[in-house]
Amino acid sequence: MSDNKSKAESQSSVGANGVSCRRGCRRKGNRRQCKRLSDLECGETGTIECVECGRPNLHSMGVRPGKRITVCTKHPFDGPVVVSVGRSTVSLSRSHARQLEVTTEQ
Amino acid sequence: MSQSASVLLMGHPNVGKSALFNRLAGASIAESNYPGTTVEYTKSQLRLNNEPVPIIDVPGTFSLEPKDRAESVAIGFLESEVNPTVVCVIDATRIERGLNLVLEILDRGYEVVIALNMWDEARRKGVDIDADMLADRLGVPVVQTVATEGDGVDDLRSILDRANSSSLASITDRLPSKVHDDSIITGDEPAARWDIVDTIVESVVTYQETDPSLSDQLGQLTIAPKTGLPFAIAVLYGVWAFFSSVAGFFTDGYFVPLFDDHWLPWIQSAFPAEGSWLYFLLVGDPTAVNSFEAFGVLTSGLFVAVGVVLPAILALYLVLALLEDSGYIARLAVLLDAAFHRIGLHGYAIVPMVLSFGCNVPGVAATRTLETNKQRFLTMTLLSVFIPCGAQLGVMLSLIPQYAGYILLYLLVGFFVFGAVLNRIVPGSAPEVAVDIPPLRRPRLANVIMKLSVRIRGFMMSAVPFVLAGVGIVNLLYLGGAVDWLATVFQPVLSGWFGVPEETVPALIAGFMRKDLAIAQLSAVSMSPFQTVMSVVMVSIYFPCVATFAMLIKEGRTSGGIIRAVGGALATLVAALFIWGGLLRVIGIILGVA
Repeated sequence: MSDNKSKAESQSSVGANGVSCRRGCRRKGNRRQCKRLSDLECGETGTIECVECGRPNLHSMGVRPGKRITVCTKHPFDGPVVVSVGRSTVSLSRSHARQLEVTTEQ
Repeated sequence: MSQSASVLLMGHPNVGKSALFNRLAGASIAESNYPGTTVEYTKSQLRLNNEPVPIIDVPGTFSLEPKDRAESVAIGFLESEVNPTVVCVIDATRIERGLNLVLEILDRGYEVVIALNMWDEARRKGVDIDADMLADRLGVPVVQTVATEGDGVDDLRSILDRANSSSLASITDRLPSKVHDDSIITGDEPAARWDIVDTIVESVVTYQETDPSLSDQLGQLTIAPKTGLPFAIAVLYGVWAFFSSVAGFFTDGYFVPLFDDHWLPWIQSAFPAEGSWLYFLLVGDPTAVNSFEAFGVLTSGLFVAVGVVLPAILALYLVLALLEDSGYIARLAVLLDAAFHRIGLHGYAIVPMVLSFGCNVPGVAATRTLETNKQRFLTMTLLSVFIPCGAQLGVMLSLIPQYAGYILLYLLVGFFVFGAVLNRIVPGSAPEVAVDIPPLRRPRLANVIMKLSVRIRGFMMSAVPFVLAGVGIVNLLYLGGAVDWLATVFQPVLSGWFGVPEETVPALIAGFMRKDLAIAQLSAVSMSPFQTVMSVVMVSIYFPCVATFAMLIKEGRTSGGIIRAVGGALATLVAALFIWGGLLRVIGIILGVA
């Protein structure tokens, strides 16, 4: 549940500004798998790779590159995806979740 | 030094700014456990070294780039005050995102003091923050507080004059491991700020694993669809059951006998000059045997306000306060999100909706936390047309308890049907949002009592005079012959389209003043059960009470312009009245009861 400190440096250099954001998942291979957050199952955890540009809102709520994110529940009928990130619980709309790229350990 | 610089409380939504404000300034504004409780600023005085200093509680904001009207209020204050002392209130359990806002504020050169609030909760959750080191790193004073209990508030007050400004460059210099210097140069870049935050957090915060508490587990269960939906239905039904039984208990058990057996006969005989216009105005019908039908200011007016509505809203405000303070509303918002999406809103529109059941006025004000003009317009229109307020529900429960639940359901279905239609007609966008889910917390008795007393006092000061004046105005119109004239004019529509007698006209007039009064007035008209249901639905829909209407004008001004917002709302209610009212009659005819 608690934050793993060492991960902070791994990805946090991904810029939140428009230019460097659309970097996407390049770390395939490496026993890491790139997925969209909406494809994660309930209870699955990943590391945020890229938060779609133009959504500074999400950053200020703590949903930002490099953070561990766990899917708590996914609501039916294209409902929201509730995630736990940086010790907060945040409800993201399905379209947010589709735009959020995460990597998972295999 | 004649005009002291003001103290501004800033921070993310739901970190306890209002609680801190109340403790610092001895005020009593609403504190709840959902983001967006405060949508308007509150100003008060703080005594600092025997000198009054203005202190301002502003709505929560995630960053200094506003995303809704409530956030604009906060940032507007920050920018317009001259040399304010900014108290940055941080939720200690999630210090990272709080620090990000602190750095944003420091970067603009403001003088800052940090309140690490919810210190107790952080300890319980295994979050250990070295506050002294944090103060060193940032170069501004840091105080640990538990605002709800008042802990640390004196410390905070005593260091307000040591508020300091601190540049990001100087903060970076004090950090143990240098963050990428190249990104610091362009100071306001968000990524650079987050780098500083991460480095600070790494050196001052340690997290210990803790077992999930009962509230964590309940919090999970209430938000997962499979367990959460049945729970939500149980909660909503429980709210309704509690409200209706408690309201009925006091009204039928105490106030009806008190007013009907003692007050009414006494004032009917004791008031002088029976038959005069004054008698008609204040006492009403000298032969009436119950307080609903007498219809004088001092008989029905007093009875409706104190005997019926007061116990009803007391019960309703109590359960609303529990909902607000527990953190459950945000979970309800998530569960209902998919449904609200169908009508161009998102789950968080449940907040104005829930508040509207107490009173439409704060409900309309709460639409400020919605992002676009379209969403604000949709929500304020739908709730002022379809959501009956607690006062109105109270009178319905007293007069037609067997139908009140069905009428409420019919109105709620109307809310969604008209919402879906409006969503297609009204131009504008309905952006997707991310919503913060607060942890479930045990409501504090002292806060619930304070909220109840503030709201009940508000009711006594603003609503009761309206009820009494409403009775007086309707009676004056009777005396002047206006009621009879209006009844003749509207008779074709009333009986032709809605199938209700023309005697409902006084109720429709009273409805402009107060909906509860309007429903009370209907009791004096002899109608079939279906006609009663029909007329109650009509009164609910047809026009918001004057207080709500004033609020619609106020909020409409900033939600796309008065003409568009209020005109749109009026057009909607006329359409809703005829279509949704007409449909009810059709249903009645099909069922053979109309």
